[in-house]
Amino acid sequence: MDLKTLYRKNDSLLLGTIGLLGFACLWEVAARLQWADPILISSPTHVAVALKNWAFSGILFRDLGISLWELGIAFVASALVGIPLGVAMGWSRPAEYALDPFIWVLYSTPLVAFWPLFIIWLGIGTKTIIALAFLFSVVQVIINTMAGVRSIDPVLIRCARSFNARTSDLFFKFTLPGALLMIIAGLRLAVGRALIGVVIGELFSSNAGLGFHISYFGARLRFADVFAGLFMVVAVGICTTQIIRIAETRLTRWKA
Amino acid sequence: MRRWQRTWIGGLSVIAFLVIWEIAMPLGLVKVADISRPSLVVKSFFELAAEGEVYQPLAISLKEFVLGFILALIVGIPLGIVLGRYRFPALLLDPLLMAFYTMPRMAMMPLLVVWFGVGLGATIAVVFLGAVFPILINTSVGIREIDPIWVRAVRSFGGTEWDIFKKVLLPGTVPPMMTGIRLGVGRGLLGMVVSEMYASTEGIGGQIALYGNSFRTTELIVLIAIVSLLGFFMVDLMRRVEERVRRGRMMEE
Repeated sequence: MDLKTLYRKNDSLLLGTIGLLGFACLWEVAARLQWADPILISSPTHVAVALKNWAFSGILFRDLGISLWELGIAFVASALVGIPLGVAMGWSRPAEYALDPFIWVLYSTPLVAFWPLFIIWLGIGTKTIIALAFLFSVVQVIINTMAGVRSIDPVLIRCARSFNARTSDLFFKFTLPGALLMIIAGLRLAVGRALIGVVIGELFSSNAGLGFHISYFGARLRFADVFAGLFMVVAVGICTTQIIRIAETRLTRWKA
Repeated sequence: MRRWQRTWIGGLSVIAFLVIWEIAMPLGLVKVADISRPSLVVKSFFELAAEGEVYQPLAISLKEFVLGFILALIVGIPLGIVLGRYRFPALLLDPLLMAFYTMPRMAMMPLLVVWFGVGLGATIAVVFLGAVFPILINTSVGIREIDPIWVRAVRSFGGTEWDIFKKVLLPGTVPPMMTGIRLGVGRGLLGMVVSEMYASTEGIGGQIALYGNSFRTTELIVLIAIVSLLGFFMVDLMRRVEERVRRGRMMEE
């Protein structure tokens, strides 16, 4: 195999790596040569050191654990609440019409505005953060589930009916499998939104977690630590999305 | 018939919600939490409006939003077109953009406040960062999904790169671009409110933080309602434009 075909086969991987490395080099050079104030932009080496210190002090795992815990609870709760609601809205027209106005307002609203209200209701703490993350993600789950149930071919339903399918059969053998693809896609989007909620909540007020780390060191102008925090947030986002994507391909293999 | 049903069932449920909300506190359905009442909320809206505590912050917020959003359009659309058309820069920047896209950009708040200053600068930056990625990515995906036959057709009639751009790429990418712009509006508004709540006392988000910190629930709900309706109408407007564009396209074909 000569170099040209090797390049052609792996060009996305190769160029992507070059892009990332190039960005890091540019950043490092900019900091070293003082094109911008090194205090303000930090540099990759400093970020790496900050990340190492954070990990060795053991606080990284505490912060990561707390953020993941909040994310997990909010995500599971939004699935438990959102999927039944979405199914109900897709299944019956009156239910959809009744809930529609609330869902659309919640979908288009900058939900973070509810934060002070949650503080009044629940007090400052993880409960409030979970509530915000839940609100962020549940709307996405509901909308996707509803669209999934709606998208099932009515001919299939009529066919099942004419073979005397009971409603429960109809539900478990047609509606749920048919909507599965959309539901999981909704969950994948929802986990991203829940992460936004967790980070914003921690940024505003908390005493542990990735968002807290970012906000704490941001206020002290230690931007290497801030970038380390951002790096971890990106890592969490990519990992959780990737896990759901793997589940997605596993569960929907029969469809292809 | 269907439409009419949608209106009255939806309207009825909203009214039911408001009624339950109104009587929940007096009847003691809610134990501790202060949820205020719709009648008080409406009253306090007029009071706040009379004191000028609604329009002025709203104007400041909208100014910041519009500036950031225009910036996002100026950067996002051309860059999206370039990345959709040319393979080399797209592959080069792909992982970097994906990392930014998955990151909750609001998390950059502490950095942006120091880089661009509290208030106007930081808010514009957050709105820009929130809106630019959906616009950019949807535009470039739209370009990539255009049938290459069209590009080849323009080529074989001796068209230049500019002709390809003007006659094929730009019209072809409008519907996905509109989707990106709609998503961008939502993200931009979120960024606006986060930024104002985090670091500035100006704007509608600043007002929300102010009344939240003094536990004045009724005024807080007024402001939340204003922000919600603002978001709802803006996104709804975008959705209408999007649908119009899509329908216009179907009629042409």
